[in-house]
Amino acid sequence: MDNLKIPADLDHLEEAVGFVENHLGDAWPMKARMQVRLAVEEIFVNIASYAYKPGTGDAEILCQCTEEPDRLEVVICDEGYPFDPLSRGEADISEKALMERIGGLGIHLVIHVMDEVRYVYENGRNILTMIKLM
Amino acid sequence: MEMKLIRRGTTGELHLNGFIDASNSVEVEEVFLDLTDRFDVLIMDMEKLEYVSSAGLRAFKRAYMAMRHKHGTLVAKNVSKAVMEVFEITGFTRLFKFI
Repeated sequence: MDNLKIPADLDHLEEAVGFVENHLGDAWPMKARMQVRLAVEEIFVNIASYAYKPGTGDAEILCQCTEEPDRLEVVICDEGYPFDPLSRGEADISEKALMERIGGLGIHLVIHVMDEVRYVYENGRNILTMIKLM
Repeated sequence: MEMKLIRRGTTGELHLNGFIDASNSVEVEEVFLDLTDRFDVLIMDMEKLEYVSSAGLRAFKRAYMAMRHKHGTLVAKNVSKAVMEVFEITGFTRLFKFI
């Protein structure tokens, strides 16, 4: 898989998203492209915001897009605090929760727009794998 | 991200064009809050808004809370499919009156 290692901060968000988007062939529809952008942004911004707090660190993105079936696999890793973003499950989207909650919606969106999301903590790294089928 | 405002008395209509993501959501939120302060009804035309992430949702939520506090109305118009999907997944459709 191709890989990109960059500082996990907002100044590198566009680079992270662009790296993944560039793997999508012309046949991928706009809707799926936007969903992939959304998933990468949410995970990258989470790492930038929390993984190394109050310090800083890198994020590594691995990406592979195959045809027949058309399938994108994106792996996003960091060496920050161990954190399983999937551990909280589906977010509560009731009106009360909507008004009180700070955060948590990003991963909720990721789970909904991607076909598969997996997390593992291995060798000091948070490793999040996302699969999107065309 | 481009924004254009049309004023009609106490109603403001804001046309959103582009992306609202983590790189510009703070600036967008400042614009929203300035407008919720100035108008009783704020219409957001989202025909050309192509993308919103959770950072952008926070800006909409702050605008909604400011409007609710002053008993105003936040209206959504011409919401693009991509943005509507994000509103639906997160329950944010209930923030707006749709026209």
